[in-house]
Parts: sequence; C-alpha cells; structure tokens
Amino acid sequence: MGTEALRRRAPLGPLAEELERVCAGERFACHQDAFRQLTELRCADGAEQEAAEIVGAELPSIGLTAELGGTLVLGLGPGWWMTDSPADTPTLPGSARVSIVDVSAQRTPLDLAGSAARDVISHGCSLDIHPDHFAVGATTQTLLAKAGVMLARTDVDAYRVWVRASFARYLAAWIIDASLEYR
Amino acid sequence: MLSICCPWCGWRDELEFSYGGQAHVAYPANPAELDDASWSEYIFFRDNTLGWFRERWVHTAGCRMWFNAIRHTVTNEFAAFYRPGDPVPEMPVEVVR
Ligand SMILES: [Zn+2]
Repeated sequence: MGTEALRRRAPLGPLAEELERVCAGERFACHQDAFRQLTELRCADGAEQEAAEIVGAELPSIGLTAELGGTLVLGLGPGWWMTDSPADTPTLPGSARVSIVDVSAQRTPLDLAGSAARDVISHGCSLDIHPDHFAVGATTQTLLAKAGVMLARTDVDAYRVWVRASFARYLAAWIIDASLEYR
Repeated sequence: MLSICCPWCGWRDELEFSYGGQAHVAYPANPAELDDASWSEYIFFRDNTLGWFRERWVHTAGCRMWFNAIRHTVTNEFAAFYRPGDPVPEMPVEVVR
C-alpha cells in the first residue's frame, strides 16, 4: 500500500471546501476545523480532584468550558469532560480512577461565526442560546437538526459544534441549506 | 412535546431523552433463589398506574445520566425530577378534576 492510500481524511471530505466557500459571508461563516486532537476524560465518583491534578488545572463544571493553553476543555456531565487540542498533542496518561481516551476520530469540529450564527443554529436547535442563557464559555450536548452534537459558545458571535463523523456531511449540508437567507 | 428537566442540564425537549419505565424496582437480593414466577415478576411485571407515577428517564442526547421523575400518566404533568440516591420526593396529592 502506498502512502497515498494511508493519507488521513477529514469526515466532511470534499464538502468541507463547499461549506467554507458557500458559508463565507459577513453575517455567517462556517468551516470545519479538521484533525483536532480530541480526548474524553472520565473519572470515578470522588476522583475529580485527581483528574484536575492530571490535567494540571481546575476542570470546568458541567455546562462550562475552560481554555488551558490552546486546549479547550468542555464540562459535559458528572465526572465527564472532553478536551479539544491542536493535532498531535500527546494524550495524557490516565490512572486507575481517571480514564483519558483519544476520541479524535469520533467527532469533527465545525466553527460557526457571524451575527446570524445564532439564528442559523436556532433553526435546528430548540435550546435557548440567547446570551442571557448561553453565555460565552457555555457548552452543552444537544440536538442540532436532530444530530447529537456538543455545542459551545466560544465568543459573542462564534460557536463551535462537535458532530459525529458519520453525521458530519449531513450536518454540513443542513448548515448550507439553513444559512441560505443569511448569506 | 414534553419538557423534561434533567437534574444536571436543566429543561430540555423530550426528544433528548429516552424512557426507562417504572422507577425503584429493586434488583432481587438473591436472584439465584428466585423461582421462575418471581423472576418473571421482576423482569416483566410493572405497575400500570393511572395517576402519579415514579419513572426513570435518561438524558440520551445530553449528559447521558439516568434520573427519576414523578409524572402524571393522564395529564403528563411532572411533579418532580430527582437524581438516583436523592431523597425520594413525596407523591403529590391526586386532584380530582
Ligand atoms: Zn442532562
């Protein structure tokens, strides 16, 4: 097998270029941030402090994100976090009560930005993401256009969505369609 | 659509949840000692309450945690949401309409 056959491919495939080309407006822009290093961190009941020591920083509580030197940490549930780091960041070693697993291939991050980004998301998400309820630094798991996603507000007009690889092309096609009136 | 309050995530649409049936059905202390009738009783038989009912839900599309709720099986009103291990809330008094 030649090296060509082993080249990594992002979940969106050729749709990534179309998404980036079509959704590139002032009011709404979207692109895939491919090949990020994602890990899932789970700890046993009561081992939260141990998990924080392994990471070397306070872990965000449920529904919040924390920025740790280029790594975004999402508080997803009791004893459950996801980290999003640049490609090839070494995965931290876990312990008997803290599990850290590389899940980079499970999801792909999409960045949605612009003053209309909230409206686009709201076309397919029943959650109230008004800044009063979903401020910068907030995160949650929910359904976007019926696809299970992690959603975080990274800035006033910027959101990051982590979608499962097998749903990525569906969601990108939905975003292209849903953002039509905002481009 | 029902609005359900996950004890960890707050109010969400019913679509994000899956139903888990009657709550507080205890696993038999000595399963090996059960006869077939008692075992099938434990596995298959549930209350079919008309009125307030303690039941389980799981936040499938969210934090994936299981929790309990008290729901009225006729009106679909919810009276309480509580985590496993929490003190079990009192059943509301049935109001005859
Ligand atoms: Zn939840």
